[in-house]
Amino acid sequence: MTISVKSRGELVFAGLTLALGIFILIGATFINEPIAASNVGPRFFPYAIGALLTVASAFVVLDILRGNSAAPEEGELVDPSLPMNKKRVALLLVSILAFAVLLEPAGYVIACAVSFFGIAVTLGARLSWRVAATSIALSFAIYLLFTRPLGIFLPPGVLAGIL
Amino acid sequence: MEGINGLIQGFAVAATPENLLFALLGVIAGTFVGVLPGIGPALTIALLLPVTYNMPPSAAFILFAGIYYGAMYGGSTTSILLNAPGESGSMMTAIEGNKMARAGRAAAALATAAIGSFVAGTLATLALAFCAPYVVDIAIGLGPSDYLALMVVAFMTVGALLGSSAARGFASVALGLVIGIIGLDAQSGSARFTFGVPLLLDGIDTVVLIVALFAMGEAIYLAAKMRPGKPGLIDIKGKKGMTKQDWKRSWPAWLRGTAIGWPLGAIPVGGSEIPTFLSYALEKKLTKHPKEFGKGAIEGVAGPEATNNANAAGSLMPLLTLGLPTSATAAVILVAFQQYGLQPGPLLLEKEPDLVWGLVAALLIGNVMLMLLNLPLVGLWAKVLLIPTPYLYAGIATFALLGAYSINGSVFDVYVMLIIGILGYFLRQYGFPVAPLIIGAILGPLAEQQLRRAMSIADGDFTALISTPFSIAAYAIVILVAIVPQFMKRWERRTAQEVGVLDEFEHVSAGSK
Repeated sequence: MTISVKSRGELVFAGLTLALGIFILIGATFINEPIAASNVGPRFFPYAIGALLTVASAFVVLDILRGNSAAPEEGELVDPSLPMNKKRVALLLVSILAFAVLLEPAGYVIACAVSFFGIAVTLGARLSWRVAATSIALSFAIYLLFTRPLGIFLPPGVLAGIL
Repeated sequence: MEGINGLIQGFAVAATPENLLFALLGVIAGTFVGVLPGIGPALTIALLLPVTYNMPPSAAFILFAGIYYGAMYGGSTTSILLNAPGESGSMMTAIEGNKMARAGRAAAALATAAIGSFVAGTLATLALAFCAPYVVDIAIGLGPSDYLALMVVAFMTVGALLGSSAARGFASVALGLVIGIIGLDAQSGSARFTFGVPLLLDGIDTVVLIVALFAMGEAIYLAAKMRPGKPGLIDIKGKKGMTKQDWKRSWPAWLRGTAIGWPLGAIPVGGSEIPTFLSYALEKKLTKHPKEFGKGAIEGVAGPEATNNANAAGSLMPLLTLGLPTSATAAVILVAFQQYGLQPGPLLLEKEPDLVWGLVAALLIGNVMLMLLNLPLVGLWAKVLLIPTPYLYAGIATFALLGAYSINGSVFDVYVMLIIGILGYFLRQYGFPVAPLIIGAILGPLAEQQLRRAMSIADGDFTALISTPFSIAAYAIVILVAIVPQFMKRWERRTAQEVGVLDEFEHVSAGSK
């Protein structure tokens, strides 16, 4: 029995879901059960779910070991046979993290402009004034549209004085 | 009949100038996102949920109705012009549709898809209106154990029927159920799997979950595996529309498609892949032009597309009458109801008739709008496909981030979205379907509630769960569902081989969203 390089990641992922299932089964025993518990307390459902996840994952692991690797999702823009472009994924995740980190201290407009710029460049937009201008215009437009007519709060941050 | 009165009442709600405007906005937004590759109605409605907080519920649902049907129309455009089905239901449309487009018959393919969607959508929505009151009459007599049984049926069918293997489907359902139990247990007050993080006590917001799985998962998947070069779009300018012959061949296919799609949507069984596939196989068997199949036969576009739309309308039946979502989109609509403090189910029609009938009427109105808008403007929609991919996906991600933050005004949700987005990437990569996970997360807490109710009525006697004829029948179906799909899949494979679309079929089974 040989495991191809392609299905190794799949096996690891299925292994992780199996581990999660077992973790839920064990974790459920630590859930606080009130003394005056009704017939079905807060532990019962987690036990059932943990069992389902464990059994289903075990079948997936067996399936992969038998060589039945699932085809990744196809798409018009993606080619599943390509190796993962780690640099791009890292850049994308950093752009999203930047949004989360900047949002409250710096304000929505700056956080949104930075993340849009980062994601667009990551996904292949050429570095140019056009991307930068679009990012800034879009973030201002969203901020004004959401806070004024729609009445949804977005943090103003350092631009609080001028917005 | 109750259905007719209901519809009249619904039109009175939906036909105000303001609500017509919302319906129009909905169909435009829906078509727009339907055309965009990779995002569908579930994500769009989820992203719009924060925006509709301050809207009256009837206006919000009319907007959602437009999006629901609009996205189906848009999806067929993309599958025909790009051979890029946005969702598994339009996979079968893409096979013959794209071949027709390549043979210079794009306009005819788009027209038969649009008119077929209109015919099927209208008939199926009317069928929904007429049958819903009867289903409600039955559903009103159901107890907690019956509901629990129905939910188990839903978990089983979405798990078994979606995705590349039943094991992966069930693993997805279970992952969703796990996400659903995180947080404070309302009945006992015990924290479950919160790891001492106070922000997790409220659980993981379903909107954050949906947006993360669809938008973030897709963006990460795109970053990881982007195909070099540009997708090849087919020009439709100056092409001839449907001929008399095309009409004659399309009509029966539309009607047959409706007859297949609606019932399979109305019973709580997940997925539009099997019905569209059945329709394709049927059209191929019945056609008088067998040589054209595989080279662009119009019946092969008309049938599956009608099936897909009828199926979407049918799947509103279990949602509105039983509170049981069987697709990701239906699950998001359920969340939208919950946002307004409403629980879909048999009592909804009694308590909020304006809302339900307004929604049904809006579907019919939206359908007319879509045909009027889309037949002349299809060239314009195709231009949406010319937006450069980086800008498009950066925009989608931006709205996803905005949605995740604004739903509770919490940065914590943005981090949660990032983590679940990474999970979404791996699900796509390893062939686990996303829809069962969402249904598990949304339906899980409701199932637990019904289980507890049933058990407290029966004073802890587990046999009470299978004591009513309805629940016995439902569990019998569960057992059937566990066995039959294995045969169904095998039979489908064989038929796929026979009709020579095995490759496409394997894509469908792999690409379920």
